[in-house]
Amino acid sequence: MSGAVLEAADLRVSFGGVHAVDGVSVQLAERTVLGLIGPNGSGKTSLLNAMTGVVPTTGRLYVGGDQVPLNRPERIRAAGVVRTFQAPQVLADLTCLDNALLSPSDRRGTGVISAWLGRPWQARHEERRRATALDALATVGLADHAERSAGTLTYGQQRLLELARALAGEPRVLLLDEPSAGLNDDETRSLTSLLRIVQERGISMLLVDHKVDFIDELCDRVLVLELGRRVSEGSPAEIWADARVRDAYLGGSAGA
Amino acid sequence: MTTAQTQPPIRRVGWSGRDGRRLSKLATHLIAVAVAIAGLCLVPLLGLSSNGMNLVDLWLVYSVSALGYLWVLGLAGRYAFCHTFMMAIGGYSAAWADARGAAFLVALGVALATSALAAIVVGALMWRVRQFYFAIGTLAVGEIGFTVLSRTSEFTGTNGNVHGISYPSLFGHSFVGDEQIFYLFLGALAIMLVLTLLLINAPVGRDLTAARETPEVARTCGIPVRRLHFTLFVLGSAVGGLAGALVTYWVGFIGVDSFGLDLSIGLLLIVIMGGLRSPIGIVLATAFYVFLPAALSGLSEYMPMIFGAVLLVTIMLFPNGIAAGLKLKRRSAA
Amino acid sequence: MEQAVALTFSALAMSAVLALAATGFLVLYQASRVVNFAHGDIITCGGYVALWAITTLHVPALLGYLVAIVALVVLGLVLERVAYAPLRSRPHVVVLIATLAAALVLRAILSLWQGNTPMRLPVLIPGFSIDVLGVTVNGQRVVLIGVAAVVLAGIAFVLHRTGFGRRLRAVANDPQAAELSGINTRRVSAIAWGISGGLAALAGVLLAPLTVLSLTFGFTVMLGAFAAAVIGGFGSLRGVVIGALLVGFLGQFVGGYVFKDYASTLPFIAMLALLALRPSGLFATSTERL
Repeated sequence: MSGAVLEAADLRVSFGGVHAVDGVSVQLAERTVLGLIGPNGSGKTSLLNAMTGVVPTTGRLYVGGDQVPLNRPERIRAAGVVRTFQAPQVLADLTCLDNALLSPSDRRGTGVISAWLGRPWQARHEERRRATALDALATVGLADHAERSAGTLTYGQQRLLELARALAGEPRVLLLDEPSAGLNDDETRSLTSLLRIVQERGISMLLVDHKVDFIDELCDRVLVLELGRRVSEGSPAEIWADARVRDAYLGGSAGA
Repeated sequence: MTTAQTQPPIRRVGWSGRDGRRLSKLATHLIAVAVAIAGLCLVPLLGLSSNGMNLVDLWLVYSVSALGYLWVLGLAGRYAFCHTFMMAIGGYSAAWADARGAAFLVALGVALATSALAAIVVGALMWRVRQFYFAIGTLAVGEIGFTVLSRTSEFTGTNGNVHGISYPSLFGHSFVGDEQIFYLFLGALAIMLVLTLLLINAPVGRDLTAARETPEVARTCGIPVRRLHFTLFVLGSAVGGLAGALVTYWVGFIGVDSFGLDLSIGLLLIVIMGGLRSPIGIVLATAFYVFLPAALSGLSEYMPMIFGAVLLVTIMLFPNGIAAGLKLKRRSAA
Repeated sequence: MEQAVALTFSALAMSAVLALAATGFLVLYQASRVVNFAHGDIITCGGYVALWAITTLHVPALLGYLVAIVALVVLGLVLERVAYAPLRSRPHVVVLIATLAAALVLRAILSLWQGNTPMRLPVLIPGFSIDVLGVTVNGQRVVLIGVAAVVLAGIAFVLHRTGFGRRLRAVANDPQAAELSGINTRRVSAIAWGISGGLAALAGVLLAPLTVLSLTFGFTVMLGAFAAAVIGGFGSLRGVVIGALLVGFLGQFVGGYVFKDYASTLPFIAMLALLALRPSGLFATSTERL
């Protein structure tokens, strides 16, 4: 293995004869940001779903050099892989803080037995988790909303909450599915600075998005998908210079 | 692994103490339960008619069962239709143990163990099964179960009837009569309320919410969704078994129809009307289920229809309430 | 040998009933994505309406059956208006509970109307029986098998060769896309509810004379139909028929030769085993989120 923090080899996802992901391999180097672009239907979200065990997949997955079983979301999470979704998945029933606490790296004291018979122990670990989660909320700018229901948030704030949940999970690798979708220019700029902070903390990222500037500013390398296959990879400058990418991607509905 | 080191001081939003607001919310509810239970202790002194006392006891023990069902249907979000079967298993096991001279507490333990075991088998068989198939599967389990019970006369007596069960007794004191049984059932209800509140106000409570509403997302967060569903199904079913045993000891008898279809639908009605989340809602809804037919005693023939109509009306008037309770996305067109 | 013949006819008859009931269920599910827990009580209703027509209106059995079928087509349409249409856009489980409530109400009405004592529905052709390999087979079974075969063939024809069938399959595949391409999904759904009611009634009136007509008669059939549908994968008519055959034969043959007392539980055990091993059924074509 190449010392990549995340490596996926030969991933394949099929839905009834359609190959959403057709033998894709990805290497994410430590402390870098890899962009993933491609036209609609190219399999970007399916690839993310494959890497996080959400859809049945064949292939191999390595995190930090160790092989992790595919099709087991809990194991992939335990290896330090955290993701956000295209449509922010937050629970309106819970407070923002509770939402941020859903994906901690340390799950001690979160079971039924602890709830009934081990409350002091549970409280100790919960205290630390709360501190981490509050830090994460502060980082994304939602500290004031900690005790408010997540249902009161705007769309953009929900995205931030999802990001806070991811950060509170102290991830090694962060997979982001179109984090800038639905955000206006100001919000996108805030998000860019935020993700820079995340990168400075040493978290490696795989970033799926459409917005060209967004990709340019953040990504060290970019991978291009088309029809479930990897067609190109390089630095942002190299990718945009490629005529085929320009035509297929920028010629149509580039950016949002 | 990195945590924030260089952030500006975080504004702690209004909490104090270790668990802060969470602890105070739990503490408030526990105190409320304690006060309510203390108040209820006075009920036998009210001089209710024997029918009235009987109904009160029924309300208490059905609330225990309904809370167990809440764990399965409301907290875990699994549509199980075999809860009354678990109650029957508990009842028959307790009767079986009693017939062999076991003490009351031991018989209760046997009831808990057998219904938990049954639930473990069912839950393991349907570990990966989705909602709808789980509903049908548990429906089938109930059917199979009741058929088997009515045929294994070794365990369940001739024609599935067992008579002559002893009075419940704890530490040498026998609970004879509805007034005394009241305290036994009240104690059981108090324990169940506390356990339910402890569940809801704990990290597992928010994990259950996520596991219920967005299971796939919850799994990517590392929440052990299937394990949680399984655990709550087993625990809730065991509580059902316990309630079944309590009823059996109280009535002194158990038959195949002791926990029939009417109760099955009744428990569903109770948990849905109770709001699918709150223990107090369950207790109130059980009161409605137990006391309404008595209040409308002239209309006892029409009771099933009234319950069906109430269920229908509740659904129609509060579909979003139910939906908010069940937290599902709206269906698309058609 | 004789027992084998008798069991074969019993099994075919059972399969026929289950196939009819399960198809009614399936059509409804495909058109409106609703799991109709009242389906069993609609079947029971069919039996009782036929009985009422025959005993109170003194019509011959055939007419009584037809009255029941018509009545239940109407009931299906009424249920669509009352229990389904107002809750169209609500989550699945809300409609599910509404159908459960409707089942409760139906059963209560039947109980008030006809009482709780089990009754006997007359056979279609009294005294009709045929002789197969030396075994006398109750004619009603033959009628049941024959009618079911014809009706199912008819349903298959409707599904694959008529405009309605095409529209139904489009709605089953993707309700939103169907709506967008101009199909009146409401009408498709209403018609499906009517068809479902009719099929339920048919299953009820044909089976009832072979067994006892009681308040839980239809519920038991519905459970068996569930098992058949689950085993068959809940997606296609072919799957349902195969599932019904499996359940019918399993119940009768395995139940006939071994485990006599527990015969009725065998289809459910098979279904549970299947759910444990292949949670989506034998023939599932799509991954349904229910």
